[in-house]
Amino acid sequence: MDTSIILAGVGDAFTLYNLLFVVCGVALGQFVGAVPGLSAPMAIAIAVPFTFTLSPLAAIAFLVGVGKGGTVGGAIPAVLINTPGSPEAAATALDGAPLARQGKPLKAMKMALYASVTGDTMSDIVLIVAAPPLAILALRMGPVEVACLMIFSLTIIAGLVGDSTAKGVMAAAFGIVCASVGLDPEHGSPRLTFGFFELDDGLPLPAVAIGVLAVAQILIQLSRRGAATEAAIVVDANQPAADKRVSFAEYWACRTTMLRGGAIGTVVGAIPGIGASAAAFLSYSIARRSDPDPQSFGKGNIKGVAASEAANSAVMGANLIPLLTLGVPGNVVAALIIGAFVIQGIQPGPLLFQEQGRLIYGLFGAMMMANVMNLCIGLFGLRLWSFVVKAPASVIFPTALILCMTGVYLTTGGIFGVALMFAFAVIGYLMRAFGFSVVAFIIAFVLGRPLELSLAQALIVTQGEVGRLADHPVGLALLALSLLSVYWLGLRKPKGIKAERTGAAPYQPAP
Amino acid sequence: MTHPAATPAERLDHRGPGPKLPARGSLLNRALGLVIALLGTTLILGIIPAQAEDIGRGALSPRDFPIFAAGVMVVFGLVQAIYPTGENRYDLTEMGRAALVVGAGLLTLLLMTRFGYIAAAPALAAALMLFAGERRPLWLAVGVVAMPGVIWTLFEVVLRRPLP
Repeated sequence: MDTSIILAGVGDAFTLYNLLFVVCGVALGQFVGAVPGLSAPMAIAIAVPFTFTLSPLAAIAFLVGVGKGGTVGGAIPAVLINTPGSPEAAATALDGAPLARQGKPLKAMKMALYASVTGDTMSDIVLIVAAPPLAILALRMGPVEVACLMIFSLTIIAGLVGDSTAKGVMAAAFGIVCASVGLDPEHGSPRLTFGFFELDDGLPLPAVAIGVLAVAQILIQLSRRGAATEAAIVVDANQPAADKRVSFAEYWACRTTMLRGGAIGTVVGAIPGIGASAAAFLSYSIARRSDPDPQSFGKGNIKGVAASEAANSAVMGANLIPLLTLGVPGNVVAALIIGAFVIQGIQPGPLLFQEQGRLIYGLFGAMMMANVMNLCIGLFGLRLWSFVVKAPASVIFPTALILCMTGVYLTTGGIFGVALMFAFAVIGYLMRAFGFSVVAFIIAFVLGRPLELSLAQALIVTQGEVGRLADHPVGLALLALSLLSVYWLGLRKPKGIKAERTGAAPYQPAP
Repeated sequence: MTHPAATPAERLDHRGPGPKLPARGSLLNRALGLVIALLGTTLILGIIPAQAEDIGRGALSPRDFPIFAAGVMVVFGLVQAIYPTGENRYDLTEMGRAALVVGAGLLTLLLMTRFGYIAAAPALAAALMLFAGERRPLWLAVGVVAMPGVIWTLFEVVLRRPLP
């Protein structure tokens, strides 16, 4: 790629306009991460419709900022009240909460922040280095390979189905049925529209995603009795200075833990369907096993906080590798970011680097800036977000519901979309109550339409003869990988990703 | 709210932080499987044929893809009915309360079309805050007046996006 495009793209990230949205995104992410019951994916789902008024770079950078900030914010309630603000922070609470009880909440939160930024930066560097060559490779694929890739993408759902494989598959199948609504991609014939012309373009992603992910969660919170958040923990203003900060010696002592956590998070994040919680628990478990004093873990060992946070934050950048190179969403955040790309009229995938090179390098620049902002806003805002933990649910959730309604009204252009949003909120609520994975549903919904289109193209190329697949070794390899992923993620049920798959959780959007 | 008996991971059941609801038994799981299988059958035999054309030419008929997905629902619904798996965590009272919130939201939609956003949004906020048990005047003022006002100003005035 032309160096001037790269430089121009990176330069775009540093304009005041784009920086402002990065800062807003990170601050919003830290805020929602700090409030138990809200989560970064939920905030991104709500924010996607509003981004269509922004430039593509500002929009995507804002959403990525929310995702990055949310990971940092999730550690705050995990440390302060032993209640993770997001699922990936659950491992942080194991040592963060004991540290807080020992009178060192600020030390724990600062270590979480430093480790997050370290892990996230590592992962972003890998993304920047690895994504362009992978995209070039992806460009060599024809319709058959693309169809096989889509099938492989769909099998990532096997890792997201929750405790019940049958329920997970049913949720995914229902997602595909919902994706079938609208004009069929091959013939342009209306399908499952029930006479509503508003459905000719399919069910609007913002209405479905916000309904299933955000409004269903709001329903859960508002329907709970006595759900108001109470005061968490009092930070003693007179505590010793050493207990309020992380010295360089302490940071340096955790360097191996953070680097290992960052590497684990990067690898896990690059593989669609596993997710941040699995990375955090895996990193925590390895850190404990390799430490000379494993008994101290769970009792307030700062390395436990560093291991978990470095890994869960590293997932964010690496998650964009399959999205930017193949157009495959590895988790719900990535699926929502695809929605934002589409709203901006941009199709994610290998062509992005050719057609939108400047935008992509702008995004890379914005991601690095978001890491710096995460650190600055985090240092400035830790005490502020500690108060946020105590914000009453009675104010937050009604406001969030009004924001959801406003966002969907604006993107879908009318009341019909908002009514659809409520319908999918009810579906999302029931899915969670009865243990169906909403993540499997959403990923299948996003992948359904492109899968159908690429399948039709592949059938035309092969003239429907299975034998002709032999002419496409890459496609065959991808199909073999699909079988492997179904076995490894779905049937073998590895321990590491079991926590992630408790997938019916509304919080859990984070895989 | 802290619940010392629960571990951080346990607090993350489907409702978020707080005590977990008890898991329900396998009879319900079997019933759920049957309901999904029935839904899939209805889609295959009734809804999809009525709502999608059967076009012979081309690689895939418009009916093929949804019928395949509905078929998966039938097969795995039956599998679930025979070998029930997974947990169900719900509370009927909470479901009733959630239905009331949805009702309030839909009523607000109706109000928005008649009286506009500026009248309907604060009414919804007030109803939901009172429903959630909020009685403190300051917080009520923040939620009912300030927040909808900020949202309206942001979109109508700053971003110039027309609201109903």
